[in-house]
Amino acid sequence: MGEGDPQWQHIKDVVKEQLEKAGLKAEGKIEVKILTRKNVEEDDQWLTEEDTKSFRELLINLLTGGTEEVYKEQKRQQELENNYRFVWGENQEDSQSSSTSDSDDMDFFPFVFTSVTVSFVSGVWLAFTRRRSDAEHRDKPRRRSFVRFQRPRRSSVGADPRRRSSSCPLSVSTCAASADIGFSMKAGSSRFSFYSGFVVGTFALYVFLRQVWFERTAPDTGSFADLGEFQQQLEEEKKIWKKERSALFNLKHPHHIGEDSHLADELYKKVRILCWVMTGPNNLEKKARHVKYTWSRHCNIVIFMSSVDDPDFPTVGLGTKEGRDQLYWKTIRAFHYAYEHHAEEADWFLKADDDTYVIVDNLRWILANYTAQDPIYFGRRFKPYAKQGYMSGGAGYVLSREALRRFVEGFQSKVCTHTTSVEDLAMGQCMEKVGVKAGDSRDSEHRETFHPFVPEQHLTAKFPKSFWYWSYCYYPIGPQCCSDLSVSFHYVDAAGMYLLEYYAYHLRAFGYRHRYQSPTPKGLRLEQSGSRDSEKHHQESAPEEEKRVPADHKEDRPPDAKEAAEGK
Amino acid sequence: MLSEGSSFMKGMVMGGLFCLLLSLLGTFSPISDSKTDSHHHHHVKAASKEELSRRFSDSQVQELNNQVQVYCVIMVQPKTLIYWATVIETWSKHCDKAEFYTSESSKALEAIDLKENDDWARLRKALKHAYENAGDMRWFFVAQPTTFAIIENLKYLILTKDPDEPFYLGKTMKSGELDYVAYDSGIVLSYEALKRLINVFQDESKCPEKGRALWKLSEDKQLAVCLKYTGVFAENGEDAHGKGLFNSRTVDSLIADSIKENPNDVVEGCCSDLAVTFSGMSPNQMHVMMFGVYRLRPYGHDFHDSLVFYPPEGSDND
Repeated sequence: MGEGDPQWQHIKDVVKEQLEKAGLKAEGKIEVKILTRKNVEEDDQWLTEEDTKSFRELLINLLTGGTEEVYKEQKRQQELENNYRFVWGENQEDSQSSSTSDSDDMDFFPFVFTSVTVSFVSGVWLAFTRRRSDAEHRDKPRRRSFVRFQRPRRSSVGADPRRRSSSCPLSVSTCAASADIGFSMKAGSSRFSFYSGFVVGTFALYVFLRQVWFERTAPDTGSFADLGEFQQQLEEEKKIWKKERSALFNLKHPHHIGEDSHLADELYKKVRILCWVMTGPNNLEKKARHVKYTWSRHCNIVIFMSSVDDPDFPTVGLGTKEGRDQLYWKTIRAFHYAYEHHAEEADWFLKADDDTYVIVDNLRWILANYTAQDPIYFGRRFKPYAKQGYMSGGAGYVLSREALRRFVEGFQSKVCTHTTSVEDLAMGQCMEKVGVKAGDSRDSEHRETFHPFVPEQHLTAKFPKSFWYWSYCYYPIGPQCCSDLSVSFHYVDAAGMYLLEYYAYHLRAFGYRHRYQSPTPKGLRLEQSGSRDSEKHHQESAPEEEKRVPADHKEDRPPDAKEAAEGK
Repeated sequence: MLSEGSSFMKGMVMGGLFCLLLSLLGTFSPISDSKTDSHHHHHVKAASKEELSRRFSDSQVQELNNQVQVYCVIMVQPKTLIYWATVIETWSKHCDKAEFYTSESSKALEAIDLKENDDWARLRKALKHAYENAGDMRWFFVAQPTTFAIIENLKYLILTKDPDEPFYLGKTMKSGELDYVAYDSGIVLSYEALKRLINVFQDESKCPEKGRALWKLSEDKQLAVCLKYTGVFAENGEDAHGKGLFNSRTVDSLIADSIKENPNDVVEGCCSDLAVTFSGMSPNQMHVMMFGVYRLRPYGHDFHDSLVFYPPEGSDND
C-alpha cells in the first residue's frame, strides 16, 4: 500500500478523527504502519470494544505524556465536587425553604449594597459640586420644585420657566419625570442621579425576578429531582407495606380499577402466605428491588433474606457468606427465622429466588384445597435422587405451617442435617425424612404451574431429547406446557418481572371467555352463597374433583397415606 | 441633596417598571408562537364501562357485539415467511375474516397473490379486493406480519362507532402538515372510509397509482393523502384514560423505557391494559404474548365486561 493510496489517506483521517475526539490536536505528521501476519491460517481477531478503548487510552497517553489521565482525573474530581455542592447546597436551601425571603435577601445583599454605595457616592459628588457653585439661590427654587412635586396641583410662576427651559433629549417618560421632579439649570446632577437610580432599579428588579424564577424551575434540575423522587418513593412505600421486624406486612392487596376481585380478596384472608426471597447484598438494587415492586406486593408478608442485615430495604441478615455453596445454609436459617418470628402470622411459607416471578393469587388457588395443618409442600416436582421426588429450588416451593414445624424439629432432633449445598435436593431429602408429603401442584388439566424457566422457553423452545429436563420431570409433560393459572417462572430478569406483571395482571383481551374455566377451590366452595359463578363452578368442579382423585391416589405410596387422606 | 435622592428613587422605580415590562413582553412572545404551532390531534377513545351501560341496554350491547366484524388485511411477503407463519398461528385466528395478501406466491403458505412488487400498488390492490369481498363486514384492519393485534380490544374500541361514518384510526404520526396513521401499528378503516378510498383510487390526479412526488412517499403516508382528499382524517386510538392503544414498538422496549422514566410505577406508566397492537416482536415473543393475553391470569380477578367474545375453533394456544 503506497502513500498515494486512498485507503492510506482514509486510515490517516480516522486516526486524526479519533485523536481530535479525545481532545488532542492532530498536528504534525501522522505515520501509519501496517503489520501483517505471517501465517494466513489464523483467524482474524478483532479487538473487543473494551480492548479498543484501552488501546486508545494507551496510545493517547503515550502521545501526550500522561497529561490526558491527569486531565480526566481532574474533570472527575470537579464533577464530584459539583455534585456534592449541588446536593448539599440544595439541602441547605431545603432547610431554609420556609423563610424564602431570607435567601432572597442573601442574594440581594450585594446588589443592594452596590446600589446604596453608588447612590451615596453620587449624592456626595453632587453635594460637593453644588457647594462649589453659588448654590444659595438654587436651593430655594429647588426646594420649591421639590415641594411642587409633592403637591403637583399647585403651580408656581417661578418654577414654570425652569421647567420649560429644561432640555429634553430623551423619551417622553423621562421628560415627564424630569418635569415633575423639576430639573434646575444645573440639571446634570439630578439627571445623573435619576439615571443611576434607573439603572440600579432595573438591575435590582432583574436580579429579584431571576431569583424567583430560578426557584420555581430549580426542582427540575439534577440531583434535587432525585432527592424529591426518593422522598416520594418512601411515601409510596409507607402506603403499601408496614415495615416491622425486617418484614414487610402488606397493607393493601393491589387492586385494579373496574375489576371484581372479591374471590381473590377472600383467598387473601384465608390463605395467608409468607414469601421469603433469597437475595444478597449485591443484588438488592439489581434484582430484589424489582421483586419488591412487582409480585411480592401480593404476598401477605414478604421478607428478603440476605447474608447481611439491611434495615432500609429491609433485609434480614442470616449470618452466612454469599455463594452457591451457602444456599442450603441460607435456606435452613431463613426457614428457622420465619418459624421463630412469624409462625402464627402465616399459613404457608414460600421460598423464592430474586429471579423468580410468582403469581401469588394462583398459588392461593392451589393451596386453598389444603390446610396449614397438612404436612405437605408444593413446587415443581423433580424425580431423581429422592423417592418421592423433590421440588426445584429456582421455581420456588411452599411449605405448610406443619411442614415448616417438622422441618425445624428435624434439625433440632438431628434427623435432618446439612447434607449437601444443593439446596432443593437437600430440602427434598429432609422433607421425606420428617414425613412431609410432596404435593401435586398441577391444575385440573394436569398442566404444570411451577416452571423452572421463563415462559418463552416453555412455550416455544424445542428442548432436545437429551436435555436433562425431560428426565427430571416427575410428571409426564402433556401437549400444553403451562397452566393458565401458572404460579411461577424462573430466570426472570428485571424487565421480565415487569413484563410478567403486565401480562398477568394488566394486559387482557376485553370480554374474552377463557377456554379453561378454573374450578373453585375447596376452601372457598363451602362459603359460596348463591352467586351464578359458584353454582356453575360447583357443577363443573364435581367432575374436576373426580379427575383429581385418581391422580392423587397414584402417588399414595409413601407410608403417610393417612395424612394424605386427611389432606384431601 | 434631597432632590438628588428623590430623583434617584424615581429613577429606581422607573427602572424597576421598565424591567418588569421587558420581562412580561419576553414571556408573551413564546405564548403567541406556540398558539400558531399547535395542531389539532383527533382522538378516538374507547367507551368507558359507565358510558356503555348508560347509553345502551344489555341487549343493545349484544346486538352491537354481533355487528362488529373485523376483516383483517395482512400484507405479507415470502421474505417475511416466519412472521407470516406466526401470524397464522397466533392472533389472526381472532379476526372474523383474515386474508393474507402477498407480493408473490410462496410454496409454503397460502395467500392471495397480488403479483405486485410496489408496496403502494400492492396495498391498493389488497384494499380493493377486501372492499369487493367484504360481505357483511364493516370494519377493516390492515396489518403487517410484524404486527401483533388483539382483535377483541380493537372491537371494544370501535364498538360504539358507526361504520357508515368515515373512520381512519391507529397511531397517528405527523409528517409536516400531514397527519397519518403508522403502518406497523395497524390501520383501522370503517366501511365508509374504505368506500371513499376506493372511489378516489380512480382519480389519477389526486391519488396516483405510481405515487406523486419525486421521492417515494411510504404507503401509510400515501394512504393518508388520498383519504384526506375524500375528507377522511387520521385519528388516534386511545383508551378511556387517554393512553395510546396502538404501539409501533415491542412491549419489551416500552417496558424498558418505563423502567427509566417511572421506576416506581413501571407497569402503570407503560402501556394500556386494553392495548390493541404492538409491533416488531420476534415470533417467540408473539407466542409469549398470545399466552399472556389469552391465557395467563391471576385467579379471583374478574372483569364483568359487557361483551363476551368466545375462543376461536380449532385452536389451543388461546
